[in-house]
Amino acid sequence: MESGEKIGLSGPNGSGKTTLLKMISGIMSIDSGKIRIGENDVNPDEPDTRKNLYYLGHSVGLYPGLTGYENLTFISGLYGKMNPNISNVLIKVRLDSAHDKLVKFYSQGMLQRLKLATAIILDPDILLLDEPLTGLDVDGIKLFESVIVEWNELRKTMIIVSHNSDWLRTNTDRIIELKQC
Amino acid sequence: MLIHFILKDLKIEWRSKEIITSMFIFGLSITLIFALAFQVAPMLIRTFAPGLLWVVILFTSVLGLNRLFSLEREEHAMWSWTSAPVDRGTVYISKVISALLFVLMSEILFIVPFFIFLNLPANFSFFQFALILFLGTGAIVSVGCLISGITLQAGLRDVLIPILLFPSASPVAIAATKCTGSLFDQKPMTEWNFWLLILGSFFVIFGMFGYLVFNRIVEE
Repeated sequence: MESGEKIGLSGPNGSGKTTLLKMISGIMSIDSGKIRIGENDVNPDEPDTRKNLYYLGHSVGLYPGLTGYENLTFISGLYGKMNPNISNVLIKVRLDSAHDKLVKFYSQGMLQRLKLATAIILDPDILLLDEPLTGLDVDGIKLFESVIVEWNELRKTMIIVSHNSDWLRTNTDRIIELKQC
Repeated sequence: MLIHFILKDLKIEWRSKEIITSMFIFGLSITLIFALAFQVAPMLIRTFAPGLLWVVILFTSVLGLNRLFSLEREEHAMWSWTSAPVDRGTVYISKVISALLFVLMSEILFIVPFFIFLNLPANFSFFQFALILFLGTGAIVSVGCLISGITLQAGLRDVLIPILLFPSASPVAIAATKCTGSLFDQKPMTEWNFWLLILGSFFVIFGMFGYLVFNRIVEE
């Protein structure tokens, strides 16, 4: 995959789309083969390979006992971003009114927006987006699409998993179809 | 980074107060059961008390460890750091420190009722007692955090943690009981510092081992 490319991943349930993204992000171990990002192999002992990528999964990946603002502060700290402009990003994803609300009280759509806010703050070179539109309303989908356009202009590398083939065809450079073994 | 993770655990616990409260109530309940079940001569109680104390600490630690690691499982919160450029060994060390803080806080709360309900005299060095509690609890949580990390993805983790922890931590329980018994009998520290060294060694060795292997064991 080339840098700056925007690839859609599709395939039936159980074909391994999420597994592939989890392996690239380092959440899941690799039984055989290699994943290389630039010069570095993805390896649990090499945290630096995870520095420039962010996995936006279809599960939450946030602490329910912390507020939206606290989750963003915590995650941005993990990536060494000490003074991120969290308030502005929360306004951008329209979560500014819920910034001090515990994440366990967020709706599915709000959670997706918060994860989108995380991706905007971290500003990684590689984005792994697993069913990013799940739970989003029409406004949320428009917001997400506008952010994807911004990322595209910034030449971010994206792998997007979606069951919506039409959406993938419109919003990605090419589609890779995974087949079940 | 270490402080970052510890503060996160403290913040969640400060808000919910689930871990310390449940450990304190559980510890107090076991103490009451022991006090009612062992209504024997005071001298016999004094002989059994060190062992009973460490049984209470071991049981409450399991409860605390289970809850502390459940925070990472809820809504796959652990993905936030397993996919981040952080040394996962640091996460293990932060969990050991958080668990140590929580278990020690609950111990402070239930140890006074333990002495009152079991009618135990407190005529010993409090500094030495604090040292035994610190090293013993540290050894239990360093083993416990490693086991909790291994079972983090397991479906039956609530059952697996005690099943794996009790045999692994039995040398700690024995050494801690020996230290505490000798202290209660007012023996000089030179007679029992060997057991204290065992506790310290367990704490350090398992701490280092956990730091080295945690990277691999938290992957799915």
